[in-house]
Amino acid sequence: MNLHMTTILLVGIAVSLGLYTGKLVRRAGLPSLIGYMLLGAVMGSSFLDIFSAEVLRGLGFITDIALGFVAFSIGSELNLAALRKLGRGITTILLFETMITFILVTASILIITGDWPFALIFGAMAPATAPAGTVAVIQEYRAKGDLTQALYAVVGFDDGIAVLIFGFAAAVSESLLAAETGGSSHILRTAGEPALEILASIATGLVLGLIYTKLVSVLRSHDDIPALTFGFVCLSVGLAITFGFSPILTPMAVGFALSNTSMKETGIVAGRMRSLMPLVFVLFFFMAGTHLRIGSLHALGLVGITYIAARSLGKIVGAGLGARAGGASPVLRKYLGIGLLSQAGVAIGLAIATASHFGRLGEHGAGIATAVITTVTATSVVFEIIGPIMAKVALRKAGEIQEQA
Amino acid sequence: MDSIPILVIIGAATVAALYSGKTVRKAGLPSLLGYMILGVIVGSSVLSLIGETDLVSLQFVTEIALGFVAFTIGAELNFRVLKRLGSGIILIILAESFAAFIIVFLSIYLLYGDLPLALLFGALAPASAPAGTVAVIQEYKARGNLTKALYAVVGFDDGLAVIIFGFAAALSIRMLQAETSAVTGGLMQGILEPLGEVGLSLAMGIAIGFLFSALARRLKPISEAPSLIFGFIALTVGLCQWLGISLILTCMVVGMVLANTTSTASVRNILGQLRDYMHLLFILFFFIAGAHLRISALPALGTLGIIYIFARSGGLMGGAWLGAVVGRSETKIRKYLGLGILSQAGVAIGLSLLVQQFCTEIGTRHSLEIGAVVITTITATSIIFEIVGPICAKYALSRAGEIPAEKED
Repeated sequence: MNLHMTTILLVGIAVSLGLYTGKLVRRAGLPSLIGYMLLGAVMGSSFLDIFSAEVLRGLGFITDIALGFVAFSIGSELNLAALRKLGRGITTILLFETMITFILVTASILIITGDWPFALIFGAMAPATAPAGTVAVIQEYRAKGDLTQALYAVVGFDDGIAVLIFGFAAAVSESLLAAETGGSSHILRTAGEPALEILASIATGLVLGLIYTKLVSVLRSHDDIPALTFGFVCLSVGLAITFGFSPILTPMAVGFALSNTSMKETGIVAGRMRSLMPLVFVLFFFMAGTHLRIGSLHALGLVGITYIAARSLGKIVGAGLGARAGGASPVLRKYLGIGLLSQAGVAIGLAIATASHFGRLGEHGAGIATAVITTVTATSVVFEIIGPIMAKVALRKAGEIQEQA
Repeated sequence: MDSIPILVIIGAATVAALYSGKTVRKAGLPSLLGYMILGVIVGSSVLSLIGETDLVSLQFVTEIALGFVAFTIGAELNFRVLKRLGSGIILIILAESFAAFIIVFLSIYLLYGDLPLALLFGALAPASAPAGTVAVIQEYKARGNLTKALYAVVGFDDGLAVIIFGFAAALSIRMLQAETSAVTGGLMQGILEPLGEVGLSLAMGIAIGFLFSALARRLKPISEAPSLIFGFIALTVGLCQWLGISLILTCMVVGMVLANTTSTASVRNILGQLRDYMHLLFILFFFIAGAHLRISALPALGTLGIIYIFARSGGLMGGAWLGAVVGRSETKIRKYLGLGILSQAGVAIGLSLLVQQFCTEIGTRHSLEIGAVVITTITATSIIFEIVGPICAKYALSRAGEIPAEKED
């Protein structure tokens, strides 16, 4: 029995069963994706362990493509004209929620550990929001309105800011550690890289997006749209991974180019892709579930609990203050932050990047690396479940979920 | 050289194939040839941009795509349609499969006098590749009795091909073993095993089909249909591989159960959700098929290969004609059906790999020779049939008047 054979069988079981666990969970008033994730957790390493690490690695590209589709669909919702209607508010909100989260988490970890490099790294990881959970909830409940629009914008763009903050803070933390071990530091070099990375991601995505939009607009038959879209999403994600760009920002820029050059084509593409998204979400959250290590919850500890509290508070208060300062509507002021709690792939990715880097920076660095990995993994279990539930609560309270027939 | 990451290849290939398909179509040929040609260029034959390991990990796209093709075939075949096609269709399937087997067997036996060799080639001849024919039908939105008959024939003859192959291959292996006087396993086993295989395919397809249909009918919202179908097809394909049975036959039966237990309107509704993605799957499927093609194998064609090509084509077309005449099928089916079923691809290559494996196990000089000849000849002739098959299918459909006139282009 070959490896790929078992893989197809397992994917089949995952999708058909996942669909129905989703329905079951939905009956309990929770978003379906929680059901997909639970099934993944049960079949994954946490319980039954049917998916070996090898099979999971082989399926990694599914997660990459799925996240690409999520990012693409975020970008295609971000029409500048519509965003302008939300006011300058969005920019202010983005800056406030990310910076306040960073500051709050850094400060609280610093208070309980007194360790600057350690606290800085945790603070740096906190602003990253996982877009998939929020987007899946929005699409499942067909939410519409200002809050929905703002959520798309914030979960999309804050990936860029999160990478920037992480880049700077990690550089500072690294130079502090380097100073301890007597090595030299390159703050400027390490801090310049993330900015460059973001620019390159956006530029690549925009170029691809303009080509894509041009091709879509001259297509004779709309039947070609799914194939064309699939091709460009894969291409943008693949290029991003190859060159170390953001796999979220790049496909998002492709969608952004579409939605800001042609309203008509945006509508057609969205219509054609609608029936694909449920499959994308089942696969994505199932895979996310298989990666969840429920066992790691034990490792949460004081640092983990502080991190969860400080990050949640930072997001909610930061988004609220930002909305106030930017003159956004009361709905955004009250509920936006609640919709931004998801934390997943990006944060874990940043944590792994830190670990591989800091592991080589003396004993202190290695200690930070281990703590970061275990804490972020454990807290992600919590945030991945709470995040989408809270996003649904926010949308419902804001009255942006249409009542079901 | 560090190979290009697989996502970049898939992405670029999908986009480029879409357009090479359009170019080819302008020349009046089915788009899938364009996808395949691009695969040949990017794949091992010319540029070698895709490594062996990448092709192995793309294997599962091919298998799922084949599952979707077979499922779509089944979903077109409700009993009302089959009844309309009449008993003729059964005769056609029997006649084309056996005629291909007998004519290939006889011509190779008469020319080379090698009984086991002739039996093996005869056994491989009936296996047709449904994907090419189905892709052409869907691309040109063909409709009519020939279209329906083609669906039925390319779908069902897979089951018959499995039986013929199992029986003839067992006979041939026994002969080769007799040369070394080390016969293992009775002849009966060679007959019962393929029958059991087909029976298992049918039973499993029916069981999964009923479960799937019950779920699909109740599915709300309908936009989840692609997910449900994807899940069940992956499940079926995975089970078939695990058990070593025909995935084409099994997935087709799943589709047939749906078509026969669910109202036509809701089948249309469910399939309508799928149409967009079939196009994407065909692009990937034929691109990968092209990447697997080894054009360098063509010189190995030789006299044997050329004889095989002519005998197989003659057998399939003659047999289909004979079956249609005896079964009193309508004229256009009589005239054109045989032309639409010439494709030969993955299934035949897979079976020839099996032959090679047997022959290596027997290990005599004669058997090793046969193993090598079978694999090279089938690989080389598949290149021809994979290109000629869809072109002929399109020609047949358009001659039969089942391709509606295009609005533009």
